[in-house]
Amino acid sequence: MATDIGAQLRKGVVEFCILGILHREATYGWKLSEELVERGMIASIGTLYPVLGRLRAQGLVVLSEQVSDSGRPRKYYSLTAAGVSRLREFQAQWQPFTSTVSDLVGREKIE
Amino acid sequence: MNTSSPAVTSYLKRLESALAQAPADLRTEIVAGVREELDGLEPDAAAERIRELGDPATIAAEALEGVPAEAVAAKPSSVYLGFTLALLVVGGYLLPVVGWLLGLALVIASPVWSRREKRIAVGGSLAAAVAALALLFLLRGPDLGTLGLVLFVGVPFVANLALAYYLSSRWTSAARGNA
Repeated sequence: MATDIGAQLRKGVVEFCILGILHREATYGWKLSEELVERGMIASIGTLYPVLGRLRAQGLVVLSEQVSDSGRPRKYYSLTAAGVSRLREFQAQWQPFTSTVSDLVGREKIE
Repeated sequence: MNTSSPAVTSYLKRLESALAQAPADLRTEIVAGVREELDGLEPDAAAERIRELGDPATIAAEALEGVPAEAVAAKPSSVYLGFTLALLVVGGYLLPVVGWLLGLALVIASPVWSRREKRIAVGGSLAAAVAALALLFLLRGPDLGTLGLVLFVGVPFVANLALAYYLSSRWTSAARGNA
């Protein structure tokens, strides 16, 4: 069975993308899911929650109740200090990593 | 709590059923996350969101992919569920108290039913047991004693039969949701 390359890659980085979004701004599940789906990082909201659950279990993300703009109660996810340092570690490795991989696989388009 | 349109209620129910095999925490979290988005929306807006969300079965399949295999509940066999429900209804007569408690324990342990469905079943069954004891106590004496005894035996039976019917109907809708 051929594996979907995109899916394999996304699996490895989606949790850091979530940490990155939450670092910009604490937000609720639907909004997170909407952004990640739009950007093609997850297939549906179903993909999001198991990752969020793992991030919470690791103490990188916490949940808090907040009232949103329209007065509807929302559960907001936000980053903990541990989450911020995890994101920082990832950032530090990501650039060198992508450039190494690009060197190895070649930057030229293969005809 | 906002009131939800019938379409929202039905969608959430289908989502919850489709997630029957997911760990309970995950199921609760997904359903709550979707509910807080859909609650209080105008019917048109809610319908649009439901379209965006897509098929509950797909959402559930993707959620289960993200869960370690050992945390995914096996699809329970109908034999097991039949046994559970039979125990709930007649267990207490075959093996007084213990049989009935075992039936309740199996209901609680089964991933097929949601927490709410389990609460209804266990609460209903306990209430029937308390009512039966109360009737036995109130209707004692030479005249009423027989009636008390009949009700003591009959009330839990009828109540548990009704609860078993309810649980089996919830289970079939869960099974459809997974199909």
